[in-house]
Amino acid sequence: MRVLAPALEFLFFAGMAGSFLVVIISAVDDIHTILEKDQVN
Amino acid sequence: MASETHTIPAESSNRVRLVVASTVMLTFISYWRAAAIVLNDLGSSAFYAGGIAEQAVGKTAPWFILGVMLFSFAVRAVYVESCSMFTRGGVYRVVKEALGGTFAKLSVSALMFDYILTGPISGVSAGQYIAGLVNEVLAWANVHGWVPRAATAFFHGAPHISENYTAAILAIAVTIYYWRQNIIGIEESSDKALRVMQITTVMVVLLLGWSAWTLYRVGFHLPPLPTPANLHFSGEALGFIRDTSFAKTLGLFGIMIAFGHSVLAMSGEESLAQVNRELASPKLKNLKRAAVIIALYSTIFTGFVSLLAVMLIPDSVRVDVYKDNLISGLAMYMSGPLLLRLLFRVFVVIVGFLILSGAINTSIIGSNGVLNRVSEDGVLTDWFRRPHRRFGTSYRIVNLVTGLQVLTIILSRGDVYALGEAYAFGVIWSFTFNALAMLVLRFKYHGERGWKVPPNIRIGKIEIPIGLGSVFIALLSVAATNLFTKSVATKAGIVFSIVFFIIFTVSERINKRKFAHAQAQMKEHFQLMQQEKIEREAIEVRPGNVLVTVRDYNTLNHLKWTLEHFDTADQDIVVVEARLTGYDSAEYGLAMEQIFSDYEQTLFTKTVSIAESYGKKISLLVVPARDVFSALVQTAGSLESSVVVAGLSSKMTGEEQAFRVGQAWEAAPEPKSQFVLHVVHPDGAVATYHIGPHMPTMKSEEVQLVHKLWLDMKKHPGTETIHHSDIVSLALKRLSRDYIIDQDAVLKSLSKGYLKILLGYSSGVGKSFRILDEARRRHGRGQDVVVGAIQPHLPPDADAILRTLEVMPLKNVGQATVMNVEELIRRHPDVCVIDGLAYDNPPGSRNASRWQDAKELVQAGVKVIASVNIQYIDEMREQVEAVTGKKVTQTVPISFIRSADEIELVDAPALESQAHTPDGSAGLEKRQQLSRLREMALVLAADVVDHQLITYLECQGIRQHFSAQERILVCITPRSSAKEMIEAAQIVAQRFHGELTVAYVNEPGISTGGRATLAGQLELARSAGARVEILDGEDPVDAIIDFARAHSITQLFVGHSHGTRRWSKMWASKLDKLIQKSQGMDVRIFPENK
Repeated sequence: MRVLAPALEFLFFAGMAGSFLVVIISAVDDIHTILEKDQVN
Repeated sequence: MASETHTIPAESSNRVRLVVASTVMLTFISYWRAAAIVLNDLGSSAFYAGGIAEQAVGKTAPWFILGVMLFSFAVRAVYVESCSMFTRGGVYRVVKEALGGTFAKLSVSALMFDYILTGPISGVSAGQYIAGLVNEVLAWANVHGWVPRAATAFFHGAPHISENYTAAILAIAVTIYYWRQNIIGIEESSDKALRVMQITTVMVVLLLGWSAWTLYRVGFHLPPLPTPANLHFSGEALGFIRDTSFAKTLGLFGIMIAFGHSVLAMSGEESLAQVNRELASPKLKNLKRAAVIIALYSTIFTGFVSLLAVMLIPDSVRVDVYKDNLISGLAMYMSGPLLLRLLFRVFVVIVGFLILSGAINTSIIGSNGVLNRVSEDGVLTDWFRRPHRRFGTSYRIVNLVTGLQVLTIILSRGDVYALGEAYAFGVIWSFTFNALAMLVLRFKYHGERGWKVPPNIRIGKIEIPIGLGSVFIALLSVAATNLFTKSVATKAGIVFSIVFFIIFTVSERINKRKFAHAQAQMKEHFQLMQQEKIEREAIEVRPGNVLVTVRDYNTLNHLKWTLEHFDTADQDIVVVEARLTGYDSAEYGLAMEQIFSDYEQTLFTKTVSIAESYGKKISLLVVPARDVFSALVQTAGSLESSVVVAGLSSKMTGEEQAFRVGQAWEAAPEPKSQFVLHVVHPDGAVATYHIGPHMPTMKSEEVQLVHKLWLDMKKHPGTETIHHSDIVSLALKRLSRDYIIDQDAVLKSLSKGYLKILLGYSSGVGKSFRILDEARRRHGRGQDVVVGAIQPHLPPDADAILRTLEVMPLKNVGQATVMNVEELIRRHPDVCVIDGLAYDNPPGSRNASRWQDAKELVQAGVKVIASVNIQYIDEMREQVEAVTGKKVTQTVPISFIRSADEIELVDAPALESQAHTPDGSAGLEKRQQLSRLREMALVLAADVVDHQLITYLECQGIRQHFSAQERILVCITPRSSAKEMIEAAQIVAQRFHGELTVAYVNEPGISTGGRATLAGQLELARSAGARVEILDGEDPVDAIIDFARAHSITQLFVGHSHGTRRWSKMWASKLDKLIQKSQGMDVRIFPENK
């Protein structure tokens, strides 16, 4: 466990950092989507 | 957009062409409704996630719940990417494509573990909220001394119930309820989801507002920050590492463990994929909008509720008392009067019950969907997917899923924590497999993809999915950590997954051979053609075709009816199966072989063999659908069908079926065309409905009226351009104007009158007594009865009744009196009694005769009960005169009698009525006269009933043969034993007062001798009083049947040849055809002359 734990910790925190980026970038994209008007055919 | 078409190349020319539409027929919903459906699942975790997390990690738990909710924004992004991909198949297929069969089976097992546990945890949690409330109320009642002493003594204090056991029992009860709903196939409604979310939102707003005010008043302390030092794990929360030295120095790893225990807060995120395909256009945009609403709502609800619970509920009771009903605890620790807080708690429990019980249903539907897809892929044997005989649902899968859920509830004994731990295991592994599949598909799948999880970095030709990879490794690390820290969940999850994995693997092996055989058979019999959208040209049918919907191969009577009643030379017949697809299919479209599975093969094989037995060609179509009615309407629209035929549903009446089709028609997008729906009952009766706006059925007298008006108007100058339609149009405009001015008056005028006639065969049979007795009974039932006209002399018993009724005084016209029609119309009673219809009104009256007064009253919407004797019926006058020798001058036309809605014969036996005759003579001659009059009256009554039936059937568009009076048709040829046939028919016609017709179908090349024989036969027929008809037609059988149907013939007399073997065979086949087509008629066969 002592060997596996640091590896899992690294994966977790790295993954969380990346996920944070996902949340920020997709939030900007979401705001654009919400504000954008639907095209009427 | 041009539709994509794939065809399996034809190998054999006699295969039946079968079109499989691959796009699910959906009714599209707004992103608000989609968000509501997902939140019904996701929002339910707010009721238990906080309590479970705090039991595991201590007071710092709310920060982890909030962290999980923020992380759920990233997980949501993975699902948005997954939904934006255009792949067919379902979870198993998609993961199999990415990771192979073993991983796919494991992934489905994890998803099933997640889905199946959603039910028990939601049910038990709902039960905990109810049981907690009951205990609180009992304690409150005990404090106020409202509990009987015996109860207090029995419980050694305040009465209470075991929360865990009560919760388990309630959870089982709700699961059983939804099991039944799913067996019957009651559909999920987005309206219901939206309503539940509206009520939940009211609760959330009240909860947050009241909590904020309470915090303002009493002050607050935030929970301890989520640092390793603040984590206080329970023994159970450390699982397998509990007794190791590592547990004492967890450090940052503790953060991961705590996160793993809070991860069930985002359970339900996967529901986003389920609603994706139902979203209205623009799909991706609306998906993102729904996803944002879901993520924000659940973060505020689940995240903040957990936080506020720690801030407001004292430590001493939060875990001990409210761990399983945290929001109830929050309600009880608000600032305000106890009664108000208790009422709010009741509201919380109601909302909790609604949202949590909805989650149970979602879990059954979700599991059913996943296992259906897996079964279609041959990973689960078809035995599981066999539809319910009555309801058509995959009941075996529903039984399996709910059985496992009930077993889980029993094993948990109502312990939310144990269930929550296991649930978290399923949730995290399900998310991990999905993220892994999406990651691999980034490199393997090169098809259409609407959106990608950001950020992505391109190095040369390779795009590195930083965002997607990050989410995956975060999920994987938490899932791996959970393996060590959730001992019970890990064991249960592994056992469950292994069991399902083994079932899948074994089933797949069993199925492999069977599947290959079925595929080969399918290729042999059907030429499969896949179409993205249904197009009439692709199915190669003409506009105005007949669409027959099939589902169960045991109930195909309506198909037989269609084949009997429609000629494929005029109208093509398309047999369609709306293949119901579960929730899971909403994520991905279905592959052709998934849609056209083993069951469809059996169904269509039977369908084709029925069509072949009728010698008619049909086209076959399968459309995947979430709603049968909507699919039917959309298919009818795409194929330009003019007729839709359905069997009677086992769940609803024909009326209800038509109403649902009508609703679907109203909701269908333009352009849409009208069609006629025939619902065929198992007994062969057919109900017909017009779907969409349609031409009203006009009676011939109404058409005549329009024509008469038109003729009259044309006499005036300047009316050359007036058409019949202008007259109808003007009448409608005036009606709509009147309706605006005086709605009641118009509605009253439109209310349909009713005419009931009591028919007597002689005076003195007791008509007056009978009519007044009926009036008395109706008056007694509370109906407004008025006597409009009555005979001048009544027997004493009838007179006594008359005195109890309201009598409208007659009106003076000159020296005479007439019925006061104006006043009766103004008075508008429920029932008007008119004893004696055959009176001529004096000159200057409103109408010339009393029967016309009665007609006017009926037209004004009044129910009229009138009486008349047969001798006064105009068309029967001569016949009656011949019997009685008495002449009458005042008469009623038979057409008025025929227009009656109901006719009742006042049928006193001849001898009895004779006793009432004024002279009292009882001669034999008189008795015979009365008997003959009685027979005439009986035949007339039968004739009226017959007429009513024909009118009804015509109005309903039913071409069914039905008659109340005998009509005999004798079909003769020069070879037939005409004399014998005509004599036999004459006896029947006389016996039943029926009509006799003798017909001959023109035969080309008839010999001179034959012509002479025929002339003699026809003469014989005429002398027997028969009507003689010479028919023409290429096929004598068709000519006879067409004539018989047009004239409502009840009995057919035909000859049977026993000539040479060849001729005998030919005529035998014609006779077979005649018998087959003469449904509803009796056929009598006479041997022909040798």
